[in-house]
Amino acid sequence: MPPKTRSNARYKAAADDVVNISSRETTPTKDGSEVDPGLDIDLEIDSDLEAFMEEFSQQSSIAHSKALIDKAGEISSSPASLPDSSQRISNSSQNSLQSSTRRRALTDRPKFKVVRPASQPQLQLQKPEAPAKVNSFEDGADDRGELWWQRYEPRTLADLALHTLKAGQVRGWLEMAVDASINGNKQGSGCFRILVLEGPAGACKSTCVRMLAHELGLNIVEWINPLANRTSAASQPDSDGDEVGVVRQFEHFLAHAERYSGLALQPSSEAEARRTSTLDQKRQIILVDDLPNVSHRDTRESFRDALLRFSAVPAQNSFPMVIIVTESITSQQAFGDESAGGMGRRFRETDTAANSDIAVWSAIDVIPSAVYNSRFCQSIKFNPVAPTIVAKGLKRILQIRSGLGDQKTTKFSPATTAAIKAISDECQGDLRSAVTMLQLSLASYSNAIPASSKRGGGNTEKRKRGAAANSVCIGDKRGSTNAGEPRRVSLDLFHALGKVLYAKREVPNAPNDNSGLARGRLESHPDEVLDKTPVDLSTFGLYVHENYTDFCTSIDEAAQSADCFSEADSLSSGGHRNLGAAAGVAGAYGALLAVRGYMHYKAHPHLTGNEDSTTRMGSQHGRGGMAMFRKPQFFDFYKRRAALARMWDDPAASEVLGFGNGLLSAGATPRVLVQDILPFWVKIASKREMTLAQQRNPSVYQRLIELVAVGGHKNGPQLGASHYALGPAHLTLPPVPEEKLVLSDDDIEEFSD
Amino acid sequence: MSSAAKPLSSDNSLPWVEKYRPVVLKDVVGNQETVDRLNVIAMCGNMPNLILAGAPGIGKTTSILCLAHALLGPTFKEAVLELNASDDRGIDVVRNRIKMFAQKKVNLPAGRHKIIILDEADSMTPGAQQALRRTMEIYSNTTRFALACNLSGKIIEPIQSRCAILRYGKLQNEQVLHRLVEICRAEDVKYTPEGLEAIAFSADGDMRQAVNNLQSTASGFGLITPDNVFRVCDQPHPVVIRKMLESCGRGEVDDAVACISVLWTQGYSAVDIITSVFRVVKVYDDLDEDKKLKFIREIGITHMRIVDGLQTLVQLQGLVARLCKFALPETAALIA
Repeated sequence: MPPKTRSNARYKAAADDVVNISSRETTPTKDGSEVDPGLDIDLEIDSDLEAFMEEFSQQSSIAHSKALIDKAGEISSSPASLPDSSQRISNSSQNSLQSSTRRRALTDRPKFKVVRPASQPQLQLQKPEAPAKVNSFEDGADDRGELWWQRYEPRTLADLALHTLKAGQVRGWLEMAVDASINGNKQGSGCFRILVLEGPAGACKSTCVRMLAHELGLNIVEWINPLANRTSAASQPDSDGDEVGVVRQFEHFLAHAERYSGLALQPSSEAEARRTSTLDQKRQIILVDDLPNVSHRDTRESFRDALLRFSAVPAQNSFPMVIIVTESITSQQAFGDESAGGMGRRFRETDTAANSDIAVWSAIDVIPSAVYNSRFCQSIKFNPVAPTIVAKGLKRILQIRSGLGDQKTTKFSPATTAAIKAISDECQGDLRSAVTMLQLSLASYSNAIPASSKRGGGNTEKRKRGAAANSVCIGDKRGSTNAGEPRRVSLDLFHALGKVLYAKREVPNAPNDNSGLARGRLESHPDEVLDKTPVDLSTFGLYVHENYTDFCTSIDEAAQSADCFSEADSLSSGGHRNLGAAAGVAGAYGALLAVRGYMHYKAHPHLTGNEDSTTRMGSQHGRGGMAMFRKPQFFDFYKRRAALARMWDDPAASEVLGFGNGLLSAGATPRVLVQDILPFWVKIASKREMTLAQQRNPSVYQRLIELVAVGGHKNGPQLGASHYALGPAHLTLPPVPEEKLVLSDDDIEEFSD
Repeated sequence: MSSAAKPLSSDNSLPWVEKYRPVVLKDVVGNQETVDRLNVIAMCGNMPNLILAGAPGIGKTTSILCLAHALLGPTFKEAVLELNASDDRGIDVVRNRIKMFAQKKVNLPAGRHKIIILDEADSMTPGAQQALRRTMEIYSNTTRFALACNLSGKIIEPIQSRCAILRYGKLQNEQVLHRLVEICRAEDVKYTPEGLEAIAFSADGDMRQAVNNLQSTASGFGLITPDNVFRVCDQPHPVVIRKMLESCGRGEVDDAVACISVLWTQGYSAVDIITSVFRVVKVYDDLDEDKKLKFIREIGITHMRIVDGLQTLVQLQGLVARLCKFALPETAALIA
């Protein structure tokens, strides 16, 4: 019976995959029960679990899964070609019921049930009836054992810190894609295969997808990198060396997610599955958040292959995939890259494609260009969350915590507003870290209350107080201790920047004129500032450099400062590759020079107690000495440069560029094409060329234009790491609000809405 | 603080660094505010994922261990997984060992979590860090992470986003001194105050190095004096360097060069000398602002030359000459 065994084997593979997915998914549940004191404790659980999974993968016949398997059989047999599989499976499972006590023991354990107990808090599930009442968080302030950014995950679209337009885009895509997978065959419906969401960390990407999926009644099948079974292979000799690479497993996952998706085994989607009857079984999306290790070259390539194959599958009867790519770059890598290569590397051709360890993760690194550029793949970019929206989100959490549902009546104390503002400014558009900061600062406050109770007592007390006064108050350290506490361990970034950039001096007691530069002692000592900066020294130097022109009042001042910056730069990053132990020292020299130099040469410092000097700034920054600090453009440029660098490895892109102006044949390297010609090409190319290029490869064309358009209006085609204008800096348009980071020492009143 | 000075055990074979490692949070020296925050976390029990960033030897690992002890008490052994750079922490370890531990069941008091301590997390590859990203989320019900690193910039953004970042500043010399005195009393070591100051200076805010230097000086000479300390630490004597800088400040080239020559003939390398010069000039407060800036610039340039391979006496003497020039009027340097 060769054909039958084959189908059986296929089915088994499918079933064990499905069950594996579910058992992976249930592990948090099982662990979640750990806080229940009533449950039995088994310290060997981890080996048991492994054995459990092992058995699943080998025999797919654990007794209690029989029902599931039967169910699986029923459902899966309908679309696929396995008419008698359910029968066969039940046979085989009976055959293998010769099993041990241990297996029975396993089945006795309630926590291994695939079905998640209803009493468990279901974080992943957004309850549909929740929206109207924020009070559905049963006990507002009791957060024991949960992180706030998970606990207070938004449950309605209105709470989502996202532009409605953006959410609309995602929603539209999902609707179209699901429609395509059900009805299919419509014009262009095959295009909706893969959606790439890219954006920085904490920009609500995952939350947005989950929420929309819930709203549209879609099930999410999520890919999570499995455990490799290396220890179990060693301990259990009879495992037949099933060394499947992660990506192979990913391919299996994709294949089976398509074929057997009707199995609503996902704990997260289980409730919906019950609600949405068999009628809607098609309504499902595949979510890939946990990418395989694409910094490994082979993995990356096979991952690309898997995606390619997936995108080639017709949309009908399949499921759309959503890939979430978190842009990540570590500043250290950027510096390392810059200084290691130095000037030399910037003008040398390097093959980044062969470079096995990727510094920048962007969609282009992760998704193969053949897929990314194809019409099967759309991408939506998420921006960092704007500070005002962050503030809104934080307030929402505080309202929930204090048990106040009504958004309008809640008044926040000035201290709270200030703290929220400080946090939302500091988080750089990362909502998640903002919430963590809030949690931490609130915890500090609850300690300040002389609480006789042990843990958590402070919290409840605080809540009561807050509710009674109908106001929420957090006495954030930031706000309250600046004046009182002389020694803060770390200044926050803007404070440190302000200290340096304003370079306040004490009024000299006696004018001692021996050098002409002795104008009273600096109010804040450069060494101290540097000791306490919240970022590393090179980054801090970048910040100072980015902003100093706004604070210079004469060209001499600026020139001398620039001189210092240049020397600092050459000291800290000037191609000293083999510094070894001295690497840290180099950074210290650089920062010291930059900061000291600037502060020293600043000719018109703010004298304390002298209001005249602030008014000069006042015309520019508004009253009260409030100044905008810009983020260094270094990182943005670095990212863009890396993106461009990837482009020149992309044959399609250089073809589009080379096409029409014959430059490719003239011997221009791809690098020259992309970095030098592209920006100008966009500006000067004739309409005919553009349309030709557009017709040739629309998606590549679109991306080229986008690349140039990003920041192009204000920075031009400049691709260097830093770019600043000296004179007209005052006149340039203020940057886009989202990038703007605002410092204000005393604008607390202003920020109360 | 006197309780802190009590040794953990009377075992003499333990290095003092381990012997006098604090076990409760309140004994951690310095960084009062950060440690207070940890204290709060220890009290309320809900530990967020943490990143502790700061220079070496300022108590990052110590305070996270203290926190774990405070949170978990007797279950510490089962509920804490500590991995540092010496452990293999490739992507498969993150996937397997860390996930396995996260799935492990441990009987803990309500509201407490298992803790995974990743020491020296900045040495993890970006790939491994990426793999950690989702793991952190999935198991956050039961497991929390504490990452210690020297530069938080080396941690990828998605991880930073999931963690509360606590920064550790350098320890003040007084704080180091205080602790050294305690240890000296406990170990019954004879010392002069200057000797301890010398140790604090040579450690430059690194408590671990300070304690190590203390121990080696004590075991080598039995008495802590500046001379003994610098002999043990093998560093150029800062007093000589200070004398050199003073001469430079007055423009006396001959005296300054003599000082450099003394150090050179003692056998110190150019790197040793220049590093010390930098350290001394940073804390040398008698210089006015303008001069100090110029000094630092020149020292920095010389340092880079030396690091680039020109480890010669000429470079050092050239540095001294240039420093002296700043003290003289413009015309003095002109050749008539």
